[in-house]
Amino acid sequence: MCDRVNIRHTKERCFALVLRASLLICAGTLIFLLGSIFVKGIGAISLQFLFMPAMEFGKSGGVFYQILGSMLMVLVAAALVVPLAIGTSLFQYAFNTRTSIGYLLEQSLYALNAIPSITYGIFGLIFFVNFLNTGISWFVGSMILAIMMLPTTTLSTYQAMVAIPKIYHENAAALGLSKSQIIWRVTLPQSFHGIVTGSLIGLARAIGETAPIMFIATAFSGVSVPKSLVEPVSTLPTHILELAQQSTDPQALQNAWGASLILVLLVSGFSLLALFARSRLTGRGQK
Amino acid sequence: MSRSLSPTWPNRIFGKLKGLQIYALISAALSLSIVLTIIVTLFVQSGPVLLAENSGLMSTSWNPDKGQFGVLPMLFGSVFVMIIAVSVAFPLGLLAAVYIAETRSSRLRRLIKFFLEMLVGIPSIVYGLIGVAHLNIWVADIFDLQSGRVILTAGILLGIMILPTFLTLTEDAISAIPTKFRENAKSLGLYRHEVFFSVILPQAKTGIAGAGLLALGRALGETMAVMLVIGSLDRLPSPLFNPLSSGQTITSKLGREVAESAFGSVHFSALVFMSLILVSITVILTITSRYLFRKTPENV
Amino acid sequence: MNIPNLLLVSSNQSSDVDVQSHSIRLDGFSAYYGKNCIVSDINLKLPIKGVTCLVGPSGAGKSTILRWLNRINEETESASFSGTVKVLGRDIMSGYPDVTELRRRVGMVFQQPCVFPCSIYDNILMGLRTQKLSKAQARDIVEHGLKLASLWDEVSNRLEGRADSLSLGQQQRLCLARALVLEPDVLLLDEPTASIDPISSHAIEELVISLGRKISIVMVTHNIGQAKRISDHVVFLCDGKIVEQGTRAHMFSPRCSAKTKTYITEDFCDC
Repeated sequence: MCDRVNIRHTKERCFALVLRASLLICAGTLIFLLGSIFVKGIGAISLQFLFMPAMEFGKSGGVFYQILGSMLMVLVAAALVVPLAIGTSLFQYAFNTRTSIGYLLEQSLYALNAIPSITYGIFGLIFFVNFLNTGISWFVGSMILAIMMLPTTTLSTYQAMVAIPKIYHENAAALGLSKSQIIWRVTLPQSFHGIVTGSLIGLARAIGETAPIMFIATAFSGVSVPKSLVEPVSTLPTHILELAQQSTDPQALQNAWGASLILVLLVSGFSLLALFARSRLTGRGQK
Repeated sequence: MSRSLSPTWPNRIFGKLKGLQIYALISAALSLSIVLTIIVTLFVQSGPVLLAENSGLMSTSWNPDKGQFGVLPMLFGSVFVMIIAVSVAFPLGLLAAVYIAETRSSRLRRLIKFFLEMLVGIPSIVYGLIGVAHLNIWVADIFDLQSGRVILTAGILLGIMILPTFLTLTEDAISAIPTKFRENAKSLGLYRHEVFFSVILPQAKTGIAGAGLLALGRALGETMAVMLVIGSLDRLPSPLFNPLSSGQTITSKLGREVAESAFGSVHFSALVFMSLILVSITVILTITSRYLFRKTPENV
Repeated sequence: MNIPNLLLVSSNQSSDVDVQSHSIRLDGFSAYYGKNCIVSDINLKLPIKGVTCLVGPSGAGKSTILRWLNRINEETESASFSGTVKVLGRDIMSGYPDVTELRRRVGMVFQQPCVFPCSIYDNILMGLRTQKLSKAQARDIVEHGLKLASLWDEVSNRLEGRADSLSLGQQQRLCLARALVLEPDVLLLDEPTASIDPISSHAIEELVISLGRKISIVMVTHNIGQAKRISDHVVFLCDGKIVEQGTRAHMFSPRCSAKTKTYITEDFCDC
């Protein structure tokens, strides 16, 4: 009896120890990750780095056009996806009466979310660049990123619509509003936070993507602001990729860290905005 | 998502609302057709290599010049890297998640969750940079290798990448179990490990499995980080399970070679075919994991 | 109901109980959640046997006191206490370096029935699963526990069935049986009949009365009638303080204080 208690006690001690150790290892690794990005990145960043074009294949100069290119691509992608996401969730919420179609749409969106990012790149290469013969184009990149953002944005919007209390609709209907008036005055304003949150989360993910755009939308050097829809741009992720492949060169590596830090800050910025939008707009919507 | 029209709305009033309805219909049709187009495109473009004679798809040698397109080394590489990643991330993530979920300080918990969510968002290319700048050098030093760009490096890096995702989802699954179960079990004089293994784990296991499958899907589909550190060698390692040999995964292969292959060639088609295999696996994993999440205790 | 010999052994196991005259003793006990003081300066001595009912309006701190007696409140964020609490003659903090020993001796049943999502059989043995038991022993214990909680007749033919398919009242009796097979010296009941049907309530009351002859039971209840039926001792709490305590005979007699009388007769208190 006494032995059993002791065994149990020892087990409990081990359990607590193992838990604590794993948490420390995880925390250590993750802090190391963030720490190295920040420490190495800060060293590389200066005003010059932010506002100068890249020179000598990225070894010197800055990342001005890369930041511009990245922002251009994801913002256009967001502009493309938002109307589509609103329409799709509106269809599902207000117009679709067939559960089979709803199920199909839902599963398709989840499948879209599951497709590895490199596959989007290949799809873009086949469908747009070769089949539609657009050539390497930043706008094609935007379209591909928009497709990648579609599931997140749509699901977030739809969930916000579903979460609207039924009593709002009942009251609006009791006031004699027609269905389209209800959509305009109740559904859309009340699900606005879902649209914003969803697209911000989508943006945060899209801006860090390399694999989908590296074949179809970007060039490494010699690009500035695109003058038409079918020109390549340079982006932060693809820039880091090129620099990382020259990792034996300390100058290139340093600039890669700098670009990484900027990219991480942009991603975190969008994520924080999404968090903020969720708490702020949800609160306002319910008042 | 299958929810139809709210019953308070009159069923069929056309006329004025036509504009909105058409817009919604077109959007939904477009969304669906995008998914269909992707699938069809992948199938059609996989055609040439499937129809080509002696392409040796299921062989172990990849040599485009000789028309040999064996995908086995890449498939093996993907699975091998995934196994290493999983054996790094799952035990660590599970135990740390237990610690976080069972801590009684909600402030600590929120702080950790916030950091994890930030980490989930770090782009894979940045992980790749960390891989080439630190990890591959450490691996080379520890195992006395000429180059640290080996399967082990890719596996560990991938493990670190999926750790935040797995950790945060697992933690959700564990803390979704109501406190009353913990209190009741503890009132019976059970130790924490006994409470966990006999009461919490049986209830949280479907959620944890879902988290695991989702993380597996991520691991399989990850390109940039793996591509930079795996060494890109299109052969099976020898001996087979040697993690210190260079290798190739499906994704790293695609990332390296798609731009080099001519569109419409059998070579290109072989690459698309590999991508199709990858998509099938990750989609199945994700849909299964969603099914598991839905089966969490509250819904049974 | 006849007293099972299962419970008789429990007093042999803990010989130190016999030399103590109180099962539970609180001296200058105050409990807090964060900075909020929930109960303050409680002094309480409970006898080694018998049923003690803690009564009083919601928010009086009854449950908080109860939840400290087996230190289950430790698991709650920012909960703390000051003063000394002695259970079976030992301080709950220093006297029980291993909290599981305390919880084994002090059983607890909560307001919400909470069965584990496994079979009825496994539920009963949950607290004993770490001891090596032969199959026959295990079966005996299960049967005994269920009979104690007068649940045996209802479930004996489906011991392997899932416990969460039982009705709430049955689930609560199962929780009680689960606590009783550990042979506790003290049993804490936190409004055990608040969320269940009258028939199960009645069965539990009967059980509490008969158990009270062997061990010490502390029960929180909102139901004055229930306190009147089953208690040996009543403690009336209001706003975190003890207003009055005494035997049942005293508390339900005209001799009790005016406040108590108001609460008992009108079920209402504005102290």
